[in-house]
Amino acid sequence: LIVAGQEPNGIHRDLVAAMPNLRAFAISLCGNVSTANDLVQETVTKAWANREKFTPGTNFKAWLFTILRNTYFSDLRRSRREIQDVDGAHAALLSSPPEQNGHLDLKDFARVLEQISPDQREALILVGAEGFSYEEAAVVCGCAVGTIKSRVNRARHKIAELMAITSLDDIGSASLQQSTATPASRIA
Amino acid sequence: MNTVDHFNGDGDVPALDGRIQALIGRQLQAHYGALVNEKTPDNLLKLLDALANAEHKSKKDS
Repeated sequence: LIVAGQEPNGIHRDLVAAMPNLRAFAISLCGNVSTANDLVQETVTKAWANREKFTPGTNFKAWLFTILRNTYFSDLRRSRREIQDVDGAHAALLSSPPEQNGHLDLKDFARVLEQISPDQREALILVGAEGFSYEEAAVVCGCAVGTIKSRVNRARHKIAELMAITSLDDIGSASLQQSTATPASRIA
Repeated sequence: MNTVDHFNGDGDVPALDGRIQALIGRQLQAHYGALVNEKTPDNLLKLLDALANAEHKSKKDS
């Protein structure tokens, strides 16, 4: 766990350390690398300018993630006002249905994630990939702990549905024993 | 890493079996880990230097 200082050297170091995770979260939120990089840039600039508002001893990563997700949803609301997607054509371009196959590679899994709602996706990523507690994720998302728990649970159900896992019979022993996970959280 | 938890559902939707949660958790971590391990673009790293230099210059000028 990193604890940022408010002095320039401290926050510089901690922002560099947090950047890979910020970028991964941004890509997961918006599904577009270029937009994600812009989002991280905006987040880092805001964090730098407002670093005196960070309380030392609290979770610096959670503070950064809060800035990033608030910036993302603020930008999203603004762009929705600008793009009148009355027939859903724009939204259709942003997603495509995944293969209905229980054996998914990483690219397929990314497509599965795109199919779940943004609020469920961010809750699942914060808890299941970033390792935030439900309480920390609730602070980042500005909602109740129970809401986060519900979103994570529903996200898992949706993913199971999209991966065509309807029962334990759909999971082979090889799938259960494989360990493809890479430590996602470098700074946790 | 919270791949499996003891949440019993939200009333309407019961929690998935722990083994299915674990499978989804591994897929999620593999996917997300690959994103985290991507190289951070240089322009993002240089942004911090630019912010620090701009602040230093501002303080020096004032």
